[in-house]
Amino acid sequence: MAKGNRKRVVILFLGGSTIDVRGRVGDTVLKEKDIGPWMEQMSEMNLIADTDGYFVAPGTSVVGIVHWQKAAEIIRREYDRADGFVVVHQIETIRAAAAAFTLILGTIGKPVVVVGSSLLTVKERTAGLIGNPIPYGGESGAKASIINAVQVAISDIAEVAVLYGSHIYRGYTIHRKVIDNHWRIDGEVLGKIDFGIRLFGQQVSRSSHKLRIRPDFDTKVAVFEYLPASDLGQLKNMTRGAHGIFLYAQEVSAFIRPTISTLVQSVPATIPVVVYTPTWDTLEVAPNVIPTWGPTRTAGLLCFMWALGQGKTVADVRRYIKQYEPKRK
Amino acid sequence: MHLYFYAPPTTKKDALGTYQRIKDALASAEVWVSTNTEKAEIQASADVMAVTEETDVPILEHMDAFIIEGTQNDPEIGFLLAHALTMKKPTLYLYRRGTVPMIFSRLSEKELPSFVTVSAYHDEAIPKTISTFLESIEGLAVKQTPRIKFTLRITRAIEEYLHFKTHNTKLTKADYLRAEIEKMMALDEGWNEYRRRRRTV
Repeated sequence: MAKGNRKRVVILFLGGSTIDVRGRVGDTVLKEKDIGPWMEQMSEMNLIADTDGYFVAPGTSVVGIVHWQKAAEIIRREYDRADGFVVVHQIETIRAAAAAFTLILGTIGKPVVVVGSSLLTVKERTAGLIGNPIPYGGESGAKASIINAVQVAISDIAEVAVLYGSHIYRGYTIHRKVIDNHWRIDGEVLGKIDFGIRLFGQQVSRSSHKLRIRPDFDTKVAVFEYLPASDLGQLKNMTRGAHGIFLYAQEVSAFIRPTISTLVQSVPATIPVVVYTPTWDTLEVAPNVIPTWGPTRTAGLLCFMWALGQGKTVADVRRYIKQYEPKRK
Repeated sequence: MHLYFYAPPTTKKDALGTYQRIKDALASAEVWVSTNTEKAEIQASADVMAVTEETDVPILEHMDAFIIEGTQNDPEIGFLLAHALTMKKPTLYLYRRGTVPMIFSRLSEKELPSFVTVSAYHDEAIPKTISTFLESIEGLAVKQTPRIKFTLRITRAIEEYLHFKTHNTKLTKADYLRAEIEKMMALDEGWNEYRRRRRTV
């Protein structure tokens, strides 16, 4: 914690840090020594809190599980000495990151605010990133978002939240929605930035809860989408060596139950088969089949991989998945 | 112009009296004032609300200037100042004469950018302080921050022309186009008359 009344916010860099597209020193954080110049350009943050930065990943390639695990370890190490955390993150994978942090960190007593700039330097574009084709943006917008994130990180909130535009979302619930050919983030809204940070009372409040991280994921999961033309033989081949199977079906058809039954017969009963589909509650055709749904396919898959990393048995995996399943309306 | 006046919540009569003096001074000027010192729900103009809804950009970023009563230490003030500096918005930071304002525990006077004015006041001087500040920013084109992305397909000839106009300058092609459009707006009498009519409605 900071000295006296000063708050301390730890900032972790996993891409998405571009505050100016010109690509000068300090405009983005692609390596550890960029942090100092970047913090100088963002010195306004010091009006809100003391800040310390930690480099995790440049964000010029896909940010994934190994980076989130590393970030979570930094959060664990700094937890007692910080009032809150800001994770500056590659915008393309921000939804997956929010889900992963929610799973790894579990119940927390302080905020972890995930935010990302939609600006890209030439280097980032050359690396293949596309940012987010939102209908607004700009350099001052990117900086202002980070200022907002630091302010949220000292507010009365104790969960993983995503800051996007003028809204604060519950991290695990964020998904993409398309408006007028542009995509925006949507999800359960915890608050809004208007003339200040306005929380709506739905958020988990700060507490003295001790942090315990659970960073293990088992990524040996065979993932496929059920379509009527799917070759079942091929599907069976893909499951060899998998520790779990994730079957996604956007629409439920008459063929899905027999398909799942056939698939299940080709794998040991100790291998969990997650069926991610809207009418999940009618598809428990075998003890190792775990039907589930929501909030997003990405969150569902990550939850499954994380549950496999935590639990030894199908019952364990089922319990962990159900813990994060949205309540049915 | 749309201005945000922030003062820390208080029940002290002398502070409330000061806040009222500031609001009275602003009322006599041609500015739309949003403030936290009246209702819990801070009001803003219909134009600003509409743009905020459409763009999902926080309303604070649509303010043209800030006035902050910063005699008392208040965590919101740091946040507002951070925004003002980031967005390069003219800001008047007021503190009661004889007190030490919190702003100087974070920034020295030398570090303050020119668009932030820090002024010690006594109550009688408030109207003059406010009017001096407003005059100083109305004399300038209050620079709005571009927030709305607009994709425009251009011909090769136009692209070459833009390169010709901006090559070896500090301007980007987008900056150049924005400046040209702003010049057209300033000279367009029909547009200026329309805006005058809209302000008086």
